[in-house]
Amino acid sequence: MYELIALALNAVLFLGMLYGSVQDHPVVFAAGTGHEGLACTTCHHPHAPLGSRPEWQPGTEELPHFPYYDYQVGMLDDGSRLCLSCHDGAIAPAISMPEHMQITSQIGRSVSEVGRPKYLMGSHPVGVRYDARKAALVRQPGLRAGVEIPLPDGRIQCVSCHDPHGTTGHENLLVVSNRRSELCLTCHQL
Amino acid sequence: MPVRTRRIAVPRAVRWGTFASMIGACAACAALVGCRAAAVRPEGGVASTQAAAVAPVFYPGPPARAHIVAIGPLTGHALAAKPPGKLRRAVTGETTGPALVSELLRPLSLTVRAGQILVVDVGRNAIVQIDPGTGEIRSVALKGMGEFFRPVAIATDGQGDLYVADAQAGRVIAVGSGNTVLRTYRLGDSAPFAPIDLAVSAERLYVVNRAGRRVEIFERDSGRYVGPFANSGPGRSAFPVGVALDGEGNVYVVDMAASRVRVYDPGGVLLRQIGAPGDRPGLLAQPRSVAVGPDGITYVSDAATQIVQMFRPPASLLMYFGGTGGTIGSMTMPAKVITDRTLLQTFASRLPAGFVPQYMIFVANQFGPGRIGVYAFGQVPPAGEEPTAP
Repeated sequence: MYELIALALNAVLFLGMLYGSVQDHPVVFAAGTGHEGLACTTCHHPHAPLGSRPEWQPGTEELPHFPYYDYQVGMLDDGSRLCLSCHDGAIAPAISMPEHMQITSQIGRSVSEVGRPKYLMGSHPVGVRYDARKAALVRQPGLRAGVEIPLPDGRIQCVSCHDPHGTTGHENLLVVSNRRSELCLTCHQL
Repeated sequence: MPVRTRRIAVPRAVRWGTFASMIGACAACAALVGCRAAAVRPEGGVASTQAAAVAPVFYPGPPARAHIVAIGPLTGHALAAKPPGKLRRAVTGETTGPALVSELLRPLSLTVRAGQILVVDVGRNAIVQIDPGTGEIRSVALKGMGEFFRPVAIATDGQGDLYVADAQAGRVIAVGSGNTVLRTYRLGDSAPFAPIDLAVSAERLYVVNRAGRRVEIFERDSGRYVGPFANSGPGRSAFPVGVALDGEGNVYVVDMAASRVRVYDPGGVLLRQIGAPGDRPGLLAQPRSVAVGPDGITYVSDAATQIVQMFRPPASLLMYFGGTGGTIGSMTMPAKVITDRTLLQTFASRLPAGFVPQYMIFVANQFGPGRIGVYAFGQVPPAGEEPTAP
């Protein structure tokens, strides 16, 4: 009985969340976002209840779920890896390479330890630790704790600056408009 | 009280003498032990050809009979070659080499021509040629190409000509022997054209046009634009990202938005579909590339799940390989997958004893320790049966 009630509550909660997210997030992106025409399944892949058993891998065990974006590239989180899977220079414009990867290959280090990249090429290194105190000590450009931008595990990831759903309405899917360098000044003090 | 330090004066002649003797010692040592440090810089990202043999990985694992064996990432070493100087660039028009290529950064596409594996590396913005026999790696200089050449995909035809797609400039170039540009394929000025994958038949060049979200057809030898391929009706692909051909001329199109591979006849009639959205065997999450083996088996790489799945006609799942896990068969955001028979003999000595290979499979991984995965398709004979030559 209790299980049934819990199941019903879960179903209501799930449907509510789904409804809310559909309300909050455009299902198909508007023109000018760079993601126009793409639907949810371009990035969000469903967990299918069924599959098919491989003819050459017989067995009776349950078919496995393959994990998504489960691999190591520097200190990128799975969200950044998802972005990279399309932003490769062919399917979608590449993030600045190889500077990004040189930085992200310095595993566990911050920008202040690695040193600033020579050429930012209009983009910011990803996977680096946001370490305001250390940055201030070594006289790197001052950082202040950013509450407006998300920092997964204390690191700059793609979602730190970009809202992939484009709900903010800012240019280039930014989380904060960068007019008058507003986004840069969220973290960097002059 | 400050500590006083006194700089010891060393005569200039002694300083130069020390430097010269160090150089001399290095040269003598190199002559003795055969060190080529001065001539060849050891390659970094792709393992050396002299690397210790790694145990191959079989797919599927026991107790099932293996059909795929992974023999490790493609190996090689970079040749030391000076990048072209200003004068040479002015005369030959070279822009991309033959500079030292020490490491593949982000390979997206690859093909095989005349025993050489050619890789498009978008991280280095270069076409890299790897000789699997000798292990030599060098970048390919295309004569007459401008500074803004941005290759993203590569294919070859039966005559050995190369076809290279430049998504940024909106063109595909055909490259003949001597790396000279034979012709250029473009759409009209007004039509958006961002080629990201290619397949070549005897008469046609199929090009995935990201900007138009469709596949375009060109006449291969004249360069004339024929029109879009299978661009209407319920079988239309919404967001094609990959294309391949089978032995009968059927066209396989990867539709990333629909998580499916669609198979058309040469006339554009939909024959069948492979896969559906999902994260279990037989389903596709972010299909990226398709290849068809000489036996008709379809290989589909998936950038989300890090696997390549194998289907037999019409759409039955045979098996899958790759995955994460850090073995030599693992994949890291696989992009292009190709099959090839011409390099079977080259890799034969590296295949495990008892495995009867039929053709090779190469996978371009965008990241990870082994950028180009090398696999062989074949089988292990049942116990008691002697292996036969391919």
